[in-house]
Amino acid sequence: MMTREEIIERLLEPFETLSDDERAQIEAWAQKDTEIRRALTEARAFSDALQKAQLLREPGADTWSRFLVGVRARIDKRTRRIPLWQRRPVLIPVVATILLVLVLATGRFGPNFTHDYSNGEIAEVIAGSDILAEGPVLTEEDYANLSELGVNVASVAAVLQADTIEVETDELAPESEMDAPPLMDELLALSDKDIEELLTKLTATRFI
Amino acid sequence: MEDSELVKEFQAGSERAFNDLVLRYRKEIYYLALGIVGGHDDAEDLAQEAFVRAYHALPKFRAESGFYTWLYRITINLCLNHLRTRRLRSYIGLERIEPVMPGPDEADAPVELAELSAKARTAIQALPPKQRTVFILRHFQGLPHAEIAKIMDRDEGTIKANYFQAVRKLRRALGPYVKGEE
Repeated sequence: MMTREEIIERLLEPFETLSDDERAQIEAWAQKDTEIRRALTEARAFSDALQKAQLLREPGADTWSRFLVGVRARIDKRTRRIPLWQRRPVLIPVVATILLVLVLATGRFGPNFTHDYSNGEIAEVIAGSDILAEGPVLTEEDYANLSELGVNVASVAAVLQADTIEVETDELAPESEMDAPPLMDELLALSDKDIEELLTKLTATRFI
Repeated sequence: MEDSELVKEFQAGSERAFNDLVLRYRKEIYYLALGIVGGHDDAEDLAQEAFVRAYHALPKFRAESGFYTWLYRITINLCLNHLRTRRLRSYIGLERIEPVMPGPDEADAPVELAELSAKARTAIQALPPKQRTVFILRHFQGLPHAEIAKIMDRDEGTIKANYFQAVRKLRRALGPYVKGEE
């Protein structure tokens, strides 16, 4: 038998998920308890309203037929990549720029790296990540936007050692100041494998 | 064939196995994206992108979670990032954010239904992104809280709290419809 509190909570769940037994118990309670009666009516009406509203409407018929083709086209486009040694001169400044914003902060390095960023910083990081995913091309405007962000710089090695990189987006970060050690030198000294590793981590960054 | 078998086949070089995974999950992933970002074009784009990211990451996938849990996680991260970018673009005036989740065909729908649909869309779009995501996963995709917790890498209590908050807000927003007064 469900308790009164369990029933109240259960009635916040999708109405269709109630089992016959649960529904019978709740309806029995509702006979003698006005709050449960009201919650039952509301739960049923809420589910009905969302169903009537047709919020997740079926898309056009060709959406499904062209979906796989679209995915395959994107994969083909991305896998026709130039060798890393040819990309390296371009990738290095891109990685450096993104690292400046994303990773090299006042922060806490460890198995999981987390740092608080403001919304503006996050948006720029995302812009950087998207550019990285699409191809290593940054416009002058991108650089200008990125360079306006104040960050402190730690070490590339700490990033390589982290299992994952997480960026906390809920809170605003305090203002920080630019204080960059010779990051480019550090990046240029990395092996191709480490550069690949760094790229993987940056593109897999979780925004939490 | 189980997801895990298809994943292994793909990791062994079968492109067809990946196609099967796309065909198996394209609808769930599309509707998940549609629920979070609203708007068919964005949803289709993000859903396709999620599979592309999965394709490139699958060779290193270690099956510590189920394939679909992992794929949902990729999709949610993409969608939340998309929302943040959109919010910034709106902030700096590059883009106007409008509630774009499609409702019933406006011309064909009765006035009351069109109003309900518009109210519901606006209310869902007004939820904070994480609450909205939890609500979509629970209400429209029918996933249990424990599964959502795995996908979003949070504890079950947090997910439940998010879901209940979302439901309360939506019920308030849809007030008259939910109380049966209209």
